[in-house]
Amino acid sequence: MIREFEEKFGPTLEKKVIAKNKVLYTLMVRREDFINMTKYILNRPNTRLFTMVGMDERNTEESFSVTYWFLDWKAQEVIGIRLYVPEEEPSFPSVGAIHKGAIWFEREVQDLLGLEAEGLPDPRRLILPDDWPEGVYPLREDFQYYHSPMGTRNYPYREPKNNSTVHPMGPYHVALDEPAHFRLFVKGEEIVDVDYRGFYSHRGIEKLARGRLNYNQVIFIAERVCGICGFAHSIAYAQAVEEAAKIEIPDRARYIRTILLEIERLHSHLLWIGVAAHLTGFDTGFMRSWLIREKVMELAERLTGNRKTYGLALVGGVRRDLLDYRKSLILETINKLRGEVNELVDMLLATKSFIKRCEGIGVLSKEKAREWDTAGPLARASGIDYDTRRDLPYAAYDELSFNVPVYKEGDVLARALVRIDEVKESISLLEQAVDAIPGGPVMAEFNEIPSWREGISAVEAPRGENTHYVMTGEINRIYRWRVKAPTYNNLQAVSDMLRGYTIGDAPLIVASIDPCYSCTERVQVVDIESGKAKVISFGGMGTCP
Amino acid sequence: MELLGAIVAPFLPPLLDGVARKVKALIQNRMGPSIFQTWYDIITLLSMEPTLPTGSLAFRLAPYIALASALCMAFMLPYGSNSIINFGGDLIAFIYVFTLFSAALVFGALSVENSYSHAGANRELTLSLVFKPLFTITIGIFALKTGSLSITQIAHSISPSLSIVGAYLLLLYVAYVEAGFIPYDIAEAETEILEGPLSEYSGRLLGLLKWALQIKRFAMIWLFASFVTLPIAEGVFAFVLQMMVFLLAYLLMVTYESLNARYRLDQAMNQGMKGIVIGAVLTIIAWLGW
Amino acid sequence: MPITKYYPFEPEQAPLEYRGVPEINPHLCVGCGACVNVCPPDALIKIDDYENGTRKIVLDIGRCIRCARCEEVCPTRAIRLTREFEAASNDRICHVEIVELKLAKCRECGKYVDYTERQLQKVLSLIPPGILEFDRIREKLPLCRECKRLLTVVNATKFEEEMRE
Repeated sequence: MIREFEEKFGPTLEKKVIAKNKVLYTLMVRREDFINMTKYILNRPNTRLFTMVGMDERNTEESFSVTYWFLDWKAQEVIGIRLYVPEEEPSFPSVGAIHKGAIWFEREVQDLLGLEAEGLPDPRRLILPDDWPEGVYPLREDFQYYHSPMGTRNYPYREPKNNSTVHPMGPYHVALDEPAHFRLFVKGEEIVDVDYRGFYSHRGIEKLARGRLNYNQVIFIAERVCGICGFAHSIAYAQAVEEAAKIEIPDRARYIRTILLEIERLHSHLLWIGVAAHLTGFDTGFMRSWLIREKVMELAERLTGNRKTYGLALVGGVRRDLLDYRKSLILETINKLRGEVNELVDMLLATKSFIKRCEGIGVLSKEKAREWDTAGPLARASGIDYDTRRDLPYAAYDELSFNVPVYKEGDVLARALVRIDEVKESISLLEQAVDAIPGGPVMAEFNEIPSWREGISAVEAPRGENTHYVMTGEINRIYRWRVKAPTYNNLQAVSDMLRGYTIGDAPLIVASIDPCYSCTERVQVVDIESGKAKVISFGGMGTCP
Repeated sequence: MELLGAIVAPFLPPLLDGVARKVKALIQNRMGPSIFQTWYDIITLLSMEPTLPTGSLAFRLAPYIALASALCMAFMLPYGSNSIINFGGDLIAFIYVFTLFSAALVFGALSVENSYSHAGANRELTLSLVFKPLFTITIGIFALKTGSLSITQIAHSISPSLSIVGAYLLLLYVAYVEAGFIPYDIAEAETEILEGPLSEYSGRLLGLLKWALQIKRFAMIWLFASFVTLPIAEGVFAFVLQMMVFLLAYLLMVTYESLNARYRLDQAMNQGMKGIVIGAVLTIIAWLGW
Repeated sequence: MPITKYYPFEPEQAPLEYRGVPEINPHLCVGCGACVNVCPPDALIKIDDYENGTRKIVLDIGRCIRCARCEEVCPTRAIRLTREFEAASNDRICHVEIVELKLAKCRECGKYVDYTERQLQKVLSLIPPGILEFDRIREKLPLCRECKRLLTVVNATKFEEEMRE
């Protein structure tokens, strides 16, 4: 893809190579070409919008910049296109007008940096709270992270049309783990339309990382972005920094990271199965699957010191070697798990009432799934064959063999089956990794991390791809860190999935994307009195948080 | 005998619910709450002041009407050989108070401005429209075959025949549905619509409603147990046998409940419609003499 | 078989590898501040008082995220993470642990320097005795910045004069 893109558009662009398959192009002149380039890339098969980063580069480049990163997952290449947006004219052509998956990215840049996207279909506020004053943009360099300005409250909700009434699901609802506001417009029991207001848990982590933390402190915050997939976030961050600084991590560290990532996937999918069963009223399935999950949590506690927040990743490798006397523990647990998971799956699939609740509900077609750039089991259940572990290999995945389950129906049952298959694959991956792990050091030796380098990396978290972008800065600090969680894309698809189904199905459909609001929103709390910022970690279930 | 039974009847159901929770917990490999827990919950609720979201009289009266209807249902049933409320045609009165229970719930829910309560009321109404006629048809078969309209009369004079067997099965099904066990607790679904009609109730009013729901569940299953035992036993022996059949049926229903997920409204309605068709066929068979 | 435990009526202990509440052993701590440098949420802070000559290392386990970075970098293994996980209390003061150390004094001018006496002793114990003698470390080390600079300049001028002769 990169070669063809260069042939077509090369001359007007400045090129910078980030890594073997990752290239960044900067638009120097002719901004009109920008939309054509985007359309060219998105019209190819197997491409998606990877992430979008807005940066305040007024100190170094004297303007803001907006970078769109695209991924072609069959060719395994990443292209970035950067646009410089001057302060006097803070606007840029909107990709959201032609590709729905970019809408939230642009709304976020509008909120946090004040750059307007021309032609954006839904320009309402996304991230900032209702009473944040206009014209104050937190992510700009001149805003200190401990400020907390006051404003008046106001949020333009959409109104229901044609005799439908509003059925508010949230911000507090039994079925939601974390606050999120789905305004369902209903006629009787049938849902006609949905309006989403979220970001109640926004913490401003990216601003905190810019403010006062060095590389190895940010990795702990990255771990606390989410309660369920935290380790995946910390690994994605570490990988981005390692790519920026050109650090090669030792093989043993790669395998240890893989083992812990698979343990995390196991516990997350088992949690989801329990939650789905609970939401349909099938409490026995809920208790059984969480009983199995306990074994995984205890294994994690023996290996890393904590049931969640493993705290084992550092830039350059892993902190401790955990396979000394505990290798046999992993194998024992896996053997027990295998039999129990098979029993659980048999029980679930034999419960007709549960299957009837899941079949044919919340269908997301393949075209829509591509439009919204969904990721993870949600995309794989709708027929999109994309898994970051196979398509952009990282850690030790290029040396292990596994299958990627893909289903076509796109309903809740398909998503459940994808996750169940992934549990079985994880068990097999764990066995392979423990078997094949090489010896050696667990931490790479390296000197300083150079400044003004960029790295972008993705990890397949249990919910989809976590993409982290890092630009290193001076005196051992980060200049820009951008976190994109899979739920960011998946939540946008929920409104399409809810239309036409009943209120009773709504919690189940929302839960079937396995939403992790914490990941999406990245919340920070600023304590006004002491002027210090605290990061509150949201447990997942306690989900996801 | 029947007086004793009638006095105990209102106070037994919460204890039975506690036992049900314990059974469910043991199936799920955990300890579960103590068997008196439902009683503790109801007593705590009854001692608290309710928070009223609306000044409407219907809201405040609905729990009392529901409790009264449930108690009437329980009193019209036989404990031993007789019941304390017994008159020719009390079957119609039974159906009447049975429907009044649902109506009270619906009125209470509709009197508040809360879309969750309205959704719950909607579901309760829809279910009633299907399952109350089904209940009437089922009981009607018994009435037709025994030629009487009094519950205790009917219970004593049932004799086996093709349509009666079918009617027993249908009665078991309707008792399960109206008792509000899991595949069918659609109107009071917790996770989906935040308990539907019950969501705006609190304190004393909520305690009364929960108690009333327990009593209704008890009444439905006791009715089934009476129809099974009274044709073949008398007096104290009949009472003991009723208790045993009741407990057996209750425990089996609880076990079945813990192995199932909740139905959606349209799925439950489809089942109910099929039941009505079967009931109509059975009625014709009964009328033809079998 | 029910698996519910009767916690808190039945004691529950975390496994050996659990990362619990940190605790500082005041006999081993030298006040170097490595833990303060590395702590991500600033649960450990260092407060120097140059008038009274004390250094306080303050640990607040309410802010601690149990990452164990302090345990990794401590040169004397003074701070360790225990297996305790019950940290609830009615008063936040119960979460704060303070280790107070004496700052060393400069040999020349008598002002307080920015390292502690124990740090000094630890460093002196680490240097091989041959070098201690040869480089006259015991004279040079316990000095404040200005006096050390002065001493270096004095030594350098003496050396240059010796070379010239």
